[in-house]
Amino acid sequence: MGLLHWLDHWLASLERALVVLLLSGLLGLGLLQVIERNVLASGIFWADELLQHLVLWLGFLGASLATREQRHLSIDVLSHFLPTRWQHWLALLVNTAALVLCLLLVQAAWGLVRSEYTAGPMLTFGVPAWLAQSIIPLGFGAITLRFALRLVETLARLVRPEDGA
Amino acid sequence: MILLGLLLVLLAILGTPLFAVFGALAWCLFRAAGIDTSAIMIELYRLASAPMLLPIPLFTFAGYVLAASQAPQRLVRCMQALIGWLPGGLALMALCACAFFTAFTGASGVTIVALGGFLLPVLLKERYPELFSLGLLTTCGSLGLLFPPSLPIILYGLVAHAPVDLLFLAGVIPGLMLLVLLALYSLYQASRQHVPRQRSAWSEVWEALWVAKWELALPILVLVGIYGGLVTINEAAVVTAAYSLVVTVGIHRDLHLWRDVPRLMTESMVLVGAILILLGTALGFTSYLIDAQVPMHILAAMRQHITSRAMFLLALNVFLLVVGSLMDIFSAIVVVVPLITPIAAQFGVHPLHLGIIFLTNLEIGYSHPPLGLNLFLGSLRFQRPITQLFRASLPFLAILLVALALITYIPDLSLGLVRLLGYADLPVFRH
Repeated sequence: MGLLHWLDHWLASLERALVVLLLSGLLGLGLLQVIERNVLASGIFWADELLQHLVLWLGFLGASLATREQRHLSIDVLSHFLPTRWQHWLALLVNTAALVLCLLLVQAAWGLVRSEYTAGPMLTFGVPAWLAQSIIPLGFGAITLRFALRLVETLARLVRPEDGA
Repeated sequence: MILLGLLLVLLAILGTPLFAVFGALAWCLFRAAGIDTSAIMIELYRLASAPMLLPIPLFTFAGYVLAASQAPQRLVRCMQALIGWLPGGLALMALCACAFFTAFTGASGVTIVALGGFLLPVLLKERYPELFSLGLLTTCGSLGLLFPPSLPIILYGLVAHAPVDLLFLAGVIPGLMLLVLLALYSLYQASRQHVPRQRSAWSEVWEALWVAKWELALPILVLVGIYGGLVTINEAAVVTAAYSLVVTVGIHRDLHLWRDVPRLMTESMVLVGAILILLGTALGFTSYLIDAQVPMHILAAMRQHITSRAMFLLALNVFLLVVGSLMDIFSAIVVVVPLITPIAAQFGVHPLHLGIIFLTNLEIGYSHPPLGLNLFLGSLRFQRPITQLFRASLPFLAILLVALALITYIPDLSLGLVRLLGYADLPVFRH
């Protein structure tokens, strides 16, 4: 539990730093492109591809942080009406389900990156495509880790409810 | 297989994150069809290379920056000076400020949190009835969703493959109509309660305008930029994000570059990530359904009972109101739109008109009891029991439903402006 917490914390700091870095880059490159196109009437040929990948990376980093902050989009009906004790049981079920389902997605994402690795397509400047796509399994992996942590926390709260408050 | 599907749907209803449910549904379906499961991720990666994705993080970030700054206060002061002297002026001011703000923050609940909290005491102080004020601010939380550059419109365009600039145009008149209808009701309430009229001195009007000039210039900048053909929507998004940073950090100094901006970056990307990951995984699922001709099967079943376009639209409204009160707007767009668009096309509904109907329904769903998000947010923000907010929002809901009926059955409300500006007949459907 201590280890998971430490990992979660460390990971979140890394993700936040990356988000700030990448979003600043997105904004900077976007501005540069606007200036190039409208003032200098030229374009940066690699900009669109890089911008798209920045959005992909930002999306997964954000999604991983959303798991930590429990901000994923979900049908949030029951939690408004259930008493607290029941909510713990519900959280147990939901987190177990999410953990299992995310493992499937990790498997699918791993499959993509592995086949791209063997096929070996390249992006501009010789960046291998699998490297750019690696955020997909990494992101799903981080999300899965967060659900595992949440599950452990929920279990702990069910075993010792007095700590829950 | 069906059992497994039902289990997953049950898990979704119990509150499992939707991206996991839809991703897993796609995983099972692909598996059962003998397709390699990495196809889901190929679909996801293909989505990431859609150029229309770029405005989503940028406009969201700009919205978060504006919401965290003093922009809401400056805007309210400006609106108050401009229209506060009218009968019912404060209520009108609240409506306009909320609409303006929602258009930029994308109806993610930011409006109630940022504006509602300090507008409520202002309304109550001027002797507007409590129930009216609560209802007004709760329903206003999503007003303005139809105005550019709102995030749900962009997302709709992306999912439905409809041109976003035309969707923006289509939303203007329906959006204004919602605003005007609510304004008329506010006027009626204010005159019935003999709410005292305010005065605003010319000097104050001038000063408030001057203070808010940078914020007021933003929509003009965006609109002139896009429709003047100067910039694309992607470029407009870049400029908006950079502009709001410069205004709030550089000019007004509401936000600190090191203390506030990184925090707002991560906060906004959490929302963006939640939307994009659902979009990515649900796409695999919906594209499977479309390949399996599921919309056409639904259509065939519907044809037995629904024979005309009018009936279809009515059924669509009822269905969307239910969806809108169960799901948040982003999930609803991502999951429902791909299935609805082919069916609606068969009934001859124009894609732009469909988009506006869709978004109006979801806007109403925000404050629709018992599950509308605005009701919960309002209850938290205003510290009132949720049942009181149910009652407070009822008259507003009735007005919005009337507006919905008008929007649904008078397509020209949505399409008139588009035609007028010469974008007459678009390719109706891509399939």
